[in-house]
Amino acid sequence: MEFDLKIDTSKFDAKLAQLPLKVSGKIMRDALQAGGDVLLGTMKALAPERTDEPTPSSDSLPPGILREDLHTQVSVSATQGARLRVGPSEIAGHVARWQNNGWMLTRKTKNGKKQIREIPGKFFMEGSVDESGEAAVDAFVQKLAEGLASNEGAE
Amino acid sequence: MLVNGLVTLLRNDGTVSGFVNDRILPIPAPEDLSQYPCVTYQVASDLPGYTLTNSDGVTTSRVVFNCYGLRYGDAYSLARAVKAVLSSYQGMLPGGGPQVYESQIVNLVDGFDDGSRISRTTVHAVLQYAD
Repeated sequence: MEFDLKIDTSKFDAKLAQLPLKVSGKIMRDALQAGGDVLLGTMKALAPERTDEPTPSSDSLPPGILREDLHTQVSVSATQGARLRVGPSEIAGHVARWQNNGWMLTRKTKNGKKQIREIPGKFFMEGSVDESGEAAVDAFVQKLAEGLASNEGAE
Repeated sequence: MLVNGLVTLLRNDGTVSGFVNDRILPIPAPEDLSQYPCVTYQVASDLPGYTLTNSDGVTTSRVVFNCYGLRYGDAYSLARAVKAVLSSYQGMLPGGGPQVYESQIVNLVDGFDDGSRISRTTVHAVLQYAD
């Protein structure tokens, strides 16, 4: 699941380009982190938590792991650009996909017929972008502007 | 209510109803396979807008339509038909509204469930409406 938020940062880009690479990289990393923290907070708030009684032989993840596993990952590279990722790691990634998108439970009845039951998706990832995408962009832009202002004259 | 108006709008469309008759239902999907193809719907987000002092009367909502079929082609064609009805829709929804100012299809995602052998194409519609 990937979501794109497009922001015109051409004026910021011009300013960043005038700074030493190490300084501009840190400013960008801090700005993306600020935006990511906003999205992460909402995603954690909307993430479902299992409430069923675990069966003794179950190998499913314990309650709360999905929420705890959600994290941000910021990477800034001179060759590959800057990127922010918000979501689960490989620990709960598969559960996050099921919970977000939903799935069909299937079982065979005694007479061999297939029985299905839908577990609807929660769409908590889409919901978090809808709810706080704009605030995340605001946080990103504000942090970027702060970083540039504090390094004014460093070029 | 927004979803009631959207369901009526879809049911009034000849292509959509040609696939599903009136089988446009809130989640969860039916357990009876004879009820497929069908569409289920759910609201993934519904965010009212505010001014500094009050609500601005415009709400942005993401409604997810799950288009199910026993074959991939059914699910996908059904989703395309739903998309065609909702994409860029503007106006008063049938059955008493509300007024929709803007409607965008922001995603259309294919899926297949291994156990049930049911195909699903999900249509994500984001609508701004008077609330």
